[in-house]
Amino acid sequence: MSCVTRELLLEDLDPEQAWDAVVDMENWLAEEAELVLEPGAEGRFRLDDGSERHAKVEEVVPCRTLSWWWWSDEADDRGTHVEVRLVEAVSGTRVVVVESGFAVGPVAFAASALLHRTAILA
Amino acid sequence: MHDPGPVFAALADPTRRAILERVAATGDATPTALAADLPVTRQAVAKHLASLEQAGLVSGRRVGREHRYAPSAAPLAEAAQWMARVGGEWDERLARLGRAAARRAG
Repeated sequence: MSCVTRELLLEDLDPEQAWDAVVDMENWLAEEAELVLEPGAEGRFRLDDGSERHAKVEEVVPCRTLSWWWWSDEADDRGTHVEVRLVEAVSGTRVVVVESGFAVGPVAFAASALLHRTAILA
Repeated sequence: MHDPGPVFAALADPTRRAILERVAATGDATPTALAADLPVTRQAVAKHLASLEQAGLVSGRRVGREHRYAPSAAPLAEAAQWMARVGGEWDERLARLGRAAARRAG
């Protein structure tokens, strides 16, 4: 239910060049990125506001998809999922980011559990 | 504690979730405006809104000839705030990515 999508067209870059830019995470995503980009690898980010987030890599498909879970040390943070997808476009490569999280209140959390179960059954 | 069944039922439908998300994001919406934004009729939107209202997720009021709907549960207000904050963070990050990529291309 709680899902944020943003996208950006990287003009004149092919997916390979766009991927190189995306995986250079300290250039755009975080002040520090200590994370090996392999499925299951765990690491951490230090964000621009100085806060830290633990991270666990989920999927790595070069030039296509990078996804991870991340969460802070705060007790009520159940973490969110981030997917960065690259889509080849006529004039460059589109970067689509989807961050989804349900750690926003009991109804949303209960709903996420239900939807998750529905998704598995579907 | 009221029965959460209607909430689950209301959220199980993807169109209702899309409607709920929009009501939460705008804070105030009419069936006409929502139907313009979604691939469903105004009548269908009105029916979905009635289910959402029954589940206690939105509250409607009559203004002139139109019903207007607002998110009614605290979790939805939190969700709307979360979406606005996280969206803003990604806008900033993607702007940085765009600048970094331009240096790469240039």
